[in-house]
Formats: sequence, C-alpha cells, structure tokens
Amino acid sequence: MIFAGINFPPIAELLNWKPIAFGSTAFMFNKIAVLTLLSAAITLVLFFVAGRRQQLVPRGIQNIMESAVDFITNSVVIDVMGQEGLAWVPWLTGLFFFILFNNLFEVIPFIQMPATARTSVTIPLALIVYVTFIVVGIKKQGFGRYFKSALVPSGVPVALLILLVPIELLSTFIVRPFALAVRLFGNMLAGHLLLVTFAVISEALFVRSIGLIVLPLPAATLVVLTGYEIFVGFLQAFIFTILTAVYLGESLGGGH
Amino acid sequence: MVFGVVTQSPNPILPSTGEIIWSVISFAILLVLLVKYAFPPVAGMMAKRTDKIRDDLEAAESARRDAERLLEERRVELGRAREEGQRIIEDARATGEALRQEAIQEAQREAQMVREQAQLQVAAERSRLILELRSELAGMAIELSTRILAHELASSEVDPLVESFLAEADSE
Repeated sequence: MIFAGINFPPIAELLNWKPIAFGSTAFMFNKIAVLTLLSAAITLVLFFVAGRRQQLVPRGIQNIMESAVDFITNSVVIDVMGQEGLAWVPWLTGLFFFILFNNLFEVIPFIQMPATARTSVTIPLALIVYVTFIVVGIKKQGFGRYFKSALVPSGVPVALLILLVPIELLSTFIVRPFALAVRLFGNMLAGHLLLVTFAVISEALFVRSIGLIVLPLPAATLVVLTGYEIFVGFLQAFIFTILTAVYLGESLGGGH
Repeated sequence: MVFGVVTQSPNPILPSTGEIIWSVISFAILLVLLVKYAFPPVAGMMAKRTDKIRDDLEAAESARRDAERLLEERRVELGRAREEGQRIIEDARATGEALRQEAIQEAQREAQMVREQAQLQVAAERSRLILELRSELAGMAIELSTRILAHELASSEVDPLVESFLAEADSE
C-alpha cells in the first residue's frame, strides 16, 4: 500500500494538450504549437546572432553554430550526397535544428514535453522530406528515369524484377516516410514516458515519508535518464537529417 | 463537436490537425528565414575563413619554397666558392713548385758555370805555371850550362860547382 499514492496520469493527459487559442477551429493553438514555433525562433535567433558577430576566430554562439554547420556540411552532406549536395546544407541544417530543439524540450524544466513525441509534428516533417526527395528526383532525372532508377535495381536478372520492384516500391515510397515519422516519434515518446514514470515515482516516494528509504534509486535513475534523453535528442535529430540526406542524395545521383 | 474530435484527438498517437498546421507553419517559417537571411552570413563567414586559411597556407607554402630555393642557391654558390678556392690553392701550389724547380735548375746551372770557370782558371794557371817553370828551368839550364862551360875551363872545380848549383835549386 506504500505505492497507493502513485497517481500515474493517463497517457492522453501527457500528450493531448489543451488549446490555448483558436480552440474550436482547425488552427487550434496549444503547447505543441508553441514549442514548434519556439524551436524555429530559437534556431533563427542563434543563426542571426552567429551571423552578426562575424569574427575571424569564432567564439561562443558563433563557434557553436559554425561547428554545427561544419558538422552537417562534412559529416552529413559531403559524406552522403557529395559536392552536389552542398546546396542542401541550409535546408538540412534547418531540419536538424528544428528537430533537435523540439527533442530537447523534453528535458527543459517547466516545458518537459518533446514536440516530436507527437505524430502531428513527425508525420508532416516526414511527408515534407518525402515530397521533397521525389520532386528533386523527378526534376533532376526526369519522371521516367527517376522512377526507373528508384524501382529497378541495375544489374539484376529480369526474372527477379517481378520480386524486387514491389519490394523497392514498398521500401522507397511507402516504408521510408512511415519509418522516418515513426522512428522519431517512437523514440521521443518512449523517452518522455520513461521520464514521466520516474518523475511520478520519485514524487510519490517523496510525498510518502516511508518511501524516502528507496527514494534515491528512482531519483538517480531520473537524472541518468535525463542525460540519456539529451543524447537521444541529438541522435534522433542526426538520424532524421542523415536519412533525409541519403534520400536526397539518391534523388540527385540516381541511386543504386 | 466535429472540431473537438479533430483538434483534440482522443488517441494520443493520432495527429491533431491544429498541431500539424502549426508545425508545418513553424518549419516553413524557419526554412524560409534561415535559407534567405540567417544562414548566408554564417556560411559566408565560414567561406571567408576557409579562403583566408587557404590563402595563408598558400602564402606560407610559397615562402617555404622561396626559402628552399634561396638555400639551394646559397649551397650551390658555396660549393662553387669552395671549388674556386681549391683551384686557387692548387694553382699556387703548382706555381710554387714550378718556381722551385726553376730556382733549383738555375742554381745548378750557375754552379756548373762556376765550376767550369774554376776549371778553366785552374787549367790556365797550370799552363801558366808550366810555362813559367819551363822558362825558369830553361834559364837554369842555360845558367848551369854556362857555369859548366865556365868550369870546364877549370875541370877540377866542375864537380863542386855542380853540387853547389843543385843545392841551390833544391832550396828554391
């Protein structure tokens, strides 16, 4: 009965945020909307500040943002897409920071909600990437050639194509956007629920004096998990961005 | 009620229309402003820095190449100077040797000449002495003959006269 005080909120309460404005319209404005706007604003402010300093030897924010751009340029774009992909660096940088800040809101006190734990954020992002790489592929290679390069692997016997074309169709045009959206959403949702779980347990133990005996364990786990979630936030932003680069690279270069 | 269902989906996994719209708006605003205004200055600064570093490296490389070239030139010049010095020393040595040989030959020639002159002088002296001796002997013979002839006149005195003449000749 010690744990009778634990009151784990229903999952809908953790994820479905009440409207702040326009509640009865399709433009319902809630915490998630605030967070997505905030992550865009933070990214823009950081870049404006970094761009205004213009020091030859970068320091502070300029240093951090330039390192990030350098990382995306070299480790994501050039490695995956080659020199041809350099035009996509600003786009991919924006995508990376947008996802990163939306992820990191998970561990920011008083916010404690990753906007990317909502499919409302990850599905549109995945769809934007999906539409972009298809449009880029068609523009770059032409309609017929793009779909041929995407669906028909070269050097494969014709007999096998009956099997491979549907697989390629499924993996490239159906699974890709789904996997992008679900991977990010699933990871962030799981992390969010973990943190909530340990926070609720710690709080319950703290409130019930007898529980203080075992308090340090869940509280320490909460601290460790918070650190881990910061890492996951960076990792998932990186994975989403690098996969986008891979898909764009295939569209630019013909894939396979 | 319809909007209520749409905007506040009961299933936490399903997306809500309002959130979709705002996340797309946020991302669109971010991309437009970032690509048009916020990113270019940062990228420009990085490109400028890259160019500066490349220029500096190229300048350093060119300075290094110049220094190496100068060093090589100096090395060649030093080698040439060393060879020149060696050649001068060799020349001096050869000249010295030639002068020495010449001096020796000159000295030998002079010595030979002195010796020959001395021999000539000795020979002339000898001839002169012989002639002198001959004329003296002739004189003595004449004087002896004269004395003998004179003594023949008093033959008893011939022998002691001859003896005294010979004693005189020995003492001279």
